[in-house]
Amino acid sequence: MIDTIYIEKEIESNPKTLQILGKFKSARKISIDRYGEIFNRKNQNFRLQKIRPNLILAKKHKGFVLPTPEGFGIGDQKNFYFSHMYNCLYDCSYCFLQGMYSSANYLIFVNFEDFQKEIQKVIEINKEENLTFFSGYDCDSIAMESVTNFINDFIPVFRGNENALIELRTKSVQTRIFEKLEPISNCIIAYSLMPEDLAKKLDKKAPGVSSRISAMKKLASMGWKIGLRFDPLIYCEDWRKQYQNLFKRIYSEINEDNVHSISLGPLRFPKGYFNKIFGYHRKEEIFSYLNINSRNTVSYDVALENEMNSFCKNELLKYSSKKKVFNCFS
Amino acid sequence: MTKKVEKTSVRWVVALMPEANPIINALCLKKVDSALTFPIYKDEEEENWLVVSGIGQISSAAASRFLFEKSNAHRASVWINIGIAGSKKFNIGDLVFIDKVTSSVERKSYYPHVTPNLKLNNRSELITVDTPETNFDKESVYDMEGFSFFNVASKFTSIELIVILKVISDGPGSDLAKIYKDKISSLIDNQFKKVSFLLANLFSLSKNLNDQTESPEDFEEICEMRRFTFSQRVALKKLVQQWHARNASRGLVRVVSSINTSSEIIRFLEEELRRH
Repeated sequence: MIDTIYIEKEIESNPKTLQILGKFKSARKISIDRYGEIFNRKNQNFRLQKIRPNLILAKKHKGFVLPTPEGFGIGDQKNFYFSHMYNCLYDCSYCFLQGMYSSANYLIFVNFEDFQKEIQKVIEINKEENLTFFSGYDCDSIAMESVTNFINDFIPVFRGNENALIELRTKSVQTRIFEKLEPISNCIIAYSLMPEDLAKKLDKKAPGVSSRISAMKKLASMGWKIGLRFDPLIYCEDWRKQYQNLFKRIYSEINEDNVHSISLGPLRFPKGYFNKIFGYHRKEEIFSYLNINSRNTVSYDVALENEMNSFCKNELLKYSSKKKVFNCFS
Repeated sequence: MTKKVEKTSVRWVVALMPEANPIINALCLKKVDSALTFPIYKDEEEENWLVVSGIGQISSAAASRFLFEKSNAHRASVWINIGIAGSKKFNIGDLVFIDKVTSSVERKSYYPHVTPNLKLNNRSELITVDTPETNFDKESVYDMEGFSFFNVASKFTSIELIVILKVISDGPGSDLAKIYKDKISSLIDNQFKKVSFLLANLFSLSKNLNDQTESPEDFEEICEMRRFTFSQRVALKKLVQQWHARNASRGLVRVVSSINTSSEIIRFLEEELRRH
């Protein structure tokens, strides 16, 4: 799977580095000073690298935990996100990471302990408030678990900190790691979902929607809280019917009590990201419906965006209580 | 007008004539003009172009730039530096794919992309030095051009299309004066088949990049039908691309041919695309 690993000299003997390297014994290891020499280089092409991404192991020096953009949240007073990894195993056509990064290599920050300390610090400072920490903004939280051991290392940080929720955003159907852990009520395993036909076309290399629903069902039966994330909502000719069927399907498998929250968000991109992504996927129909809007972002027409949002929200309210449904417009 | 890339566009940069000869023969290249600053060779289809740079980083950089200008290289052209090098780790005759190149003077490194499905087992760091290396302190490969070649070539193309290949010609204790021309040619010639296999993978990347950058179908034809300003061309390009993503089978040229002005064509496309 990985045949080349770039390793920052500074973290060559970090235990996490050694643990990860132990999984790729035959890979070629190349010593580097800073990950930016590879990851941030100009004149490289995300799509060409996505054919066979390499792995970069690095140290993050600052910005371990950041406030989320406005409009991003699931009900708590304060929202934060953190990224132990950039880029993803999957290759979803609409993924904004393609527009954000020039490299498709997987970048893992191995100094987990610095992220953990910062999370503890934020929890301590805000102990009177309810907080949510989002993981999976710049990567899939679970897809690379066999390499990173991320879940195993971060769930204990939240155990006992009841005022702090952690959301693990994913499309992965790996459930084994959760079988080994005692469920905690302040962890949400949040699945990105869209109608199966759309996912078949767009969510390349990701598990199918049926498999994701099965994984959710299994996790719910183990006592883990589930999040349903319809973000982005994708337009297609019969989108109403497709989303109706999807919601019906999910709630025929998952008990509403096991669902912590639902969020909906429109397909939208900063203009610069969109131009790059549309260049990569010129024949992808979903991008043909998007236009630049008054917020200088690229999205569906406001009328369509609102229609999709309210239709899906109303459909979901047939199955779920209103307090669990959130809009995400960040 | 957007230039279309030739299907197998490669630019070869080699330091010495004995290194160039096996490539010239294998690809049936002919000398372009005898009075050029650097000797340049090309094939009949103008897909393969080769420059002989001479030894050293300055020559390699200058020759690469010269080749870029003379050959009208495309953004999706493949750039290859191939030549002999020294090493204490590899055997004489081994072909080595370079995945890190460091300047011994600048103390700076570049990291050439590892071509997918690379079938070459030998990979190494290359250290580019300014005087011939005889000590071979490190386990790396040593040459006198690679770093500056990569630095310059990365201004012409995406780094995934730049490759440095070295054939080991000497090691500790070698007498450089005794590496004869015929020996150099034979070292390169013996490995050229493996290089050809690598080219197939590089062409696939090149095609992928070209698909990302070439104008959408019908765009140039529509531009010629009416007079479009620069900003109208930018808008038109996106609209044509969106049209084709949604109406793959509908010929756009026919649809817009009866529209009188460039602004009306743009307005027509915007309205058509707005109607879901």
